[in-house]
Formats: sequence, structure tokens, C-alpha cells
Amino acid sequence: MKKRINLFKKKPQLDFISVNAPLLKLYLNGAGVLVFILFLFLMNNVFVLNAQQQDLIKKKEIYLKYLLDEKEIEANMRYFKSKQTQLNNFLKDDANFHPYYEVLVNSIGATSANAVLDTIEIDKKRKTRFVVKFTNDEEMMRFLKNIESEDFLKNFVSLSLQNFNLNKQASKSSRYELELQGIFKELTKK
Amino acid sequence: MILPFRFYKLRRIIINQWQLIVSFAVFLLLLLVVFIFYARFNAQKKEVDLMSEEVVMLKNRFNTLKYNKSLTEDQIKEYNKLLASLIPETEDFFSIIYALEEISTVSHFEITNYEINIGKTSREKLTLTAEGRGNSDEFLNFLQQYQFAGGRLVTSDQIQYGGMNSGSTRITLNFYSKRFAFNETVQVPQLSKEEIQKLLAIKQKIKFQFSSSDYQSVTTDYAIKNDPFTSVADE
Repeated sequence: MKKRINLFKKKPQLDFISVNAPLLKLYLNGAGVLVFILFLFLMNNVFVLNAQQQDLIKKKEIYLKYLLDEKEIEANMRYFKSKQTQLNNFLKDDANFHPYYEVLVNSIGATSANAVLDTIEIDKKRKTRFVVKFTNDEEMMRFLKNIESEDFLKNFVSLSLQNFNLNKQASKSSRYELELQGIFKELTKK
Repeated sequence: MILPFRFYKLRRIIINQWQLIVSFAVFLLLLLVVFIFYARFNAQKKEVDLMSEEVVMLKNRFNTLKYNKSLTEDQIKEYNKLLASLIPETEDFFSIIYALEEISTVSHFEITNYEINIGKTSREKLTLTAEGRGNSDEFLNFLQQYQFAGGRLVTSDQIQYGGMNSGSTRITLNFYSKRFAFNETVQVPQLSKEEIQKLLAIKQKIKFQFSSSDYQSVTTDYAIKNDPFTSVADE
């Protein structure tokens, strides 16, 4: 049988690099340019950072020198601020009773000259319980009217009458007793 | 010697494509340099960020000192004495007794008895229940004065006023003490006029000359160890 060569048959690619050399050169050049740009960018940033660092070192030196010279004043100032903060924080524990007590005393005083705020309890949550004593029923009724007024009730979140005592054996100044219980609204210190 | 076909092939590639191979080597070298620069850039950036924070902190301290003109150094020292008296570094029972007496004298509300409330007392706060006697005006005076009149900061969270009857007026009083800890990282804000006015008002409420023994000007002269394995005294 006669041997024939098929010219249309594709030869197996033995040398990939040789065959694709132009394309590989193109890719390599492209990648090289990109990496070089990245290199320039990084180099620039490193120089900028270096300059920043030098600037920061100079500033740090200036500040440290000043702080070292004024260290006693700074320590005193820090002590002052620290104690002042402590003072403000601890003052939050205070229930600030004065305005509440004053409101009650003034209201009772306005109602009757003889009415007496006998006992009073106030806690931090502004819960209150107080006893008012009267010499006669007229004063007591006047007080009851007063505590129902808008002017008096504006100081309270809630207020209720808990107890009423009529003690004929007691001294004249404290025959009628009213016990009230409620919660104050937050009042600011005058 | 007959070399294998692969060797011939490789040699042919090297001879024909040497430019490509050199370009690739240069590219790899460039890539390595970029990585080194990137690592250096990262390290330096961290360093600069850290230093920036430090400089900002120093700048705040610098500005606080330089532009805080609301109080003079002497005024700060004076107020420090006052604050050290109100909130001492450590608890001092004698000053509590003195404060109670002083409040009693100033307000005319007589404190007849007091007992320490152990349950409510903590490291920074000493709580005691005081019993007293006084009329309505005296009690009102007491309520106005108790916070600062004794030269110690006093707060109260519960009162039970029982008129003139001794023993039926009970007031919970809290006394405070707290150590000052120097922390340079905490920013000191500028002193406001309101704060100074408030302190001035407190100062005016304290009738007696407060003791300066509690407060010695804050010192920053402390011994520094050169060798961490020896005591300061040895050096």
C-alpha cells in the first residue's frame, strides 16, 4: 500500500511558548506596566508617609516639651477635673429634698396659719407621705380645697388621702390629722 | 552522549525566546519589589496611625493647658483644696463627725444621734442614718445646708421628718471618698463658666476655713527605675 501525507491534518502543538510568544509578550508587557504603576504609587505613598511621620515627630516633640514644662499645672488641672466629675456624679445620689419640703410648707402655710406639717417622708424616687394637723375642721376643709387646686397638684404626679384622724383627746392644735401619700414631680432646686 | 528530546526542545525555546524569559524574570523581580514596598507601606501606615493618635492626645492635653484661661494656677490649687475636702482621697471619720457638727451648728437643726448603715456603705460611700431634732424652719435650713456646709460632700436619699420629737426625724446621709487616678489618656475638657460658678457657690456655703492638709499639690516627681530588677532606693 502506498504511503500518503495528509497536509490538512493539524500537527500536534509541541511548543506552546514558541507558538504563543507574541501573545505572552503582550500580556507580560501589560502586566509589567500595571505592576510598575503600582510600584510608583506605593513608592509615592511611602514617601508621603515618611514626610507625615517626620511632621508628627516634630509636633510630638513640641507638645511633649510643653507638657513636661507644665506638668505640675496639668496634674493639678487633671486632679481638679477628676474631683469635679466625682462631685457631679455623687451629687446624682442626692434626692434634693429642699424644694419638695418647701412646696409643702408654703402650701400649708398659705392655707392656714395654725396648720402644722407634722411628719414627712420623702425618698429618692420622690415618693412622699406626710401628715398635716389642724386645729379645726374649717382649716382642714380649706386645706383639702387647696390641695385639689391646679396650683398645688402641679407639683405631684399622684396624691391621695390615706387616712383621717379626729382625736378629741389631743391638744387643741392637733385635733384633726390628714395623712396624704403621693409622688412628687421633679422639681429643680431654687 | 545522546540527550533526550525534551532537552533539545528546552534549549531551542531558551535560544529563541530569551527576550520573553528575561522579561518574565524582570516582571517577577518587580512583583517582589512591589510586595516588599507594600509590606513596608503597611507597617509604616500602622506606625503613622498610632503616632497620629498619640499626637492628637498630646495636642488635646496641650490645648487644655494652653487655652484654659478660665482659672489661674492658684485658683485651681485653691479649688483643689476645696474638692479634696469635700471628697477626700481616703475616708476620714473625724471629718464626718466634724461635718455633722458643723451642719448642726449652721442650720440649728440638732443632730442627736447617728449610726453607720453597713449594708449601704461601700468603698467610696459611707452611709449613716442621723437622728435629729428641730422645728420646721430649722429643718428647712438643714435641707438647704447639708450638702456642703460641713466641708464634706453629703447627699441624702431618704428623709423622715417627725417634727420636734427627738428620734423621729431620721435622715440618710452619704459621705464620699475616692482616690484620684492620673490617666493621661482621658481628655480634660475646657472649664466652663457654669462649673466655676457652681464651685464658687459651694465655696461660699462652706463657712469654715477648709483644711488644706488633705490636699498637697499633685506631684509628678516620682522616682524612675533605670534597672527593673533593683529597687529605687538601691539606685
